[in-house]
Amino acid sequence: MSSPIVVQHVSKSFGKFVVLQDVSLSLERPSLVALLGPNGAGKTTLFQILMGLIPSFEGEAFLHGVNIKNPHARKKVSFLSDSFNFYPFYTVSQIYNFYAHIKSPPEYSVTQKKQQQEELWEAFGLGGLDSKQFKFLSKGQRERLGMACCFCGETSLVLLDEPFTGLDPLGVKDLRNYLLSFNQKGGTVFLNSHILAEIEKFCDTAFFLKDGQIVQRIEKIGEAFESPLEQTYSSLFSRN
Amino acid sequence: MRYIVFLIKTHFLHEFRSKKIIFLSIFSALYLFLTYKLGYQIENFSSQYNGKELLGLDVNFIGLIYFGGIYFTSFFLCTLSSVSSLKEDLENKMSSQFLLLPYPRWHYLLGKFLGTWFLTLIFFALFFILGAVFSLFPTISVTTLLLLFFNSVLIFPPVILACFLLSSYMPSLWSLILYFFIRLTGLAIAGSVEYSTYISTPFSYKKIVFLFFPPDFALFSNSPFMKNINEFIEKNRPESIPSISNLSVNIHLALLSVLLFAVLCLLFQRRSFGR
Repeated sequence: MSSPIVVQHVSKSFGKFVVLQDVSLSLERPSLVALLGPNGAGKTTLFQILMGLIPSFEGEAFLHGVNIKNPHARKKVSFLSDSFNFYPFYTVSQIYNFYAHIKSPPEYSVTQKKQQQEELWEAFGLGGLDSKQFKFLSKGQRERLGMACCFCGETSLVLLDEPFTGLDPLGVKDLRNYLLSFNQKGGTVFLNSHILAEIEKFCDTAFFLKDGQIVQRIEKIGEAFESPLEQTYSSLFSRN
Repeated sequence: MRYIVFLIKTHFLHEFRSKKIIFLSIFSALYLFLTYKLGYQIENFSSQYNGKELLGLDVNFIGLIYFGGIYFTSFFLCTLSSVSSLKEDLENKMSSQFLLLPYPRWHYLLGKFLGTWFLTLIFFALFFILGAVFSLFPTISVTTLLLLFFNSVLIFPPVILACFLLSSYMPSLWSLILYFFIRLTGLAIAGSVEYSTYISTPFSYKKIVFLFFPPDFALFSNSPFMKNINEFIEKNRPESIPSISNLSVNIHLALLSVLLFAVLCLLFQRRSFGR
């Protein structure tokens, strides 16, 4: 099985402003990985490069062994930015069905799709919202729908940009539980967040990004609790 | 395929909620009613006064007025819809949402283009058929009517693509103003210069204007290039196929559409949707 993510010497600058500088990282097995760093460190830019939204950059990157320049690299990959947006007149179930159809392999039966939808509805508390139009959803409900759309079909790698923003405490808990179960089924989650306490609860690996460079990698966060993330984060990014 | 169909459907649903299509539909319906009434008055006058023409108008002229009206209304719908379609998606970040899916970027552009084109076609076809139902084209044969329709619908793709190009780099209103300005300049140039001289010019501003913003198809018929194509088609045409006088123009428009689509895809491919 090919590595979910391989990034080789990726650099990106916007004009004179260098955002990423020779970034290399790889995830060899399905895992729950956090990308940490202060604002402007280049976390979102790296995600956007991986998802093909920024086509010109230096270096190479692969998703499941396929070069990201090829759209098929995103076949089993989902990305949720800090705000999920869709056309306001579509209902929750119409939006989900669109994503489910695109992300499900042809051999998926209607029953399988229905079953998966029920699981995601249960996991993200979307019950009773099927016929509600997108424009009438709250920010939190939109995020939950975005999550459901992210995990539908045969998705095996999910990139989440600030996934806890806009979610209530129960939503955060639901998401955490779902990410753990997704990982147990062989899925990889690569996320960035500033809520370190939450990341400590379920992520197994963390990369620290500073001034566009990976400055540290911590493995087995949960087990090595004697060095909490907050302590490492403060020592790396302290403003003093 | 489902992806492109979804984009087409979305464009329809979005446009049906917009005020412009309601306004243009009411305008066209009113226009249909008025031309029908005028045609009725002309016929009535003619039968009462032994074939004398009312204000020098005969019934054939009504068909021309009506066709011109719905053609330009459809043209306005086409431009208004095109300048907002891609622009709105870029502004509310729906483009990025779609580009995350495992399809090449040109699929997205194709979906947006077909959505705009089909909407214009349906609008145009609806009022074209209504004109035929209300007998506004009394002396024109069905074949000629179909050819007239076919010739007209091929005008829209380059218009849509040119508007896509402009609107993806500037505000919708400015792109609309600029499009009409360049189009009118193109028409003025086409009307004022000998087309054969123009076509022999190796490279000029005029040529670029002409290439990207086609004038109405009648102006193209005079070019030697088009005449050659027409002659070639006429010589090799099987007898079963009726003569298509504007086929060369249609070929030109189709080639122009392909060229504009390729340019749009190339620019879109290099565009960053990150920041």
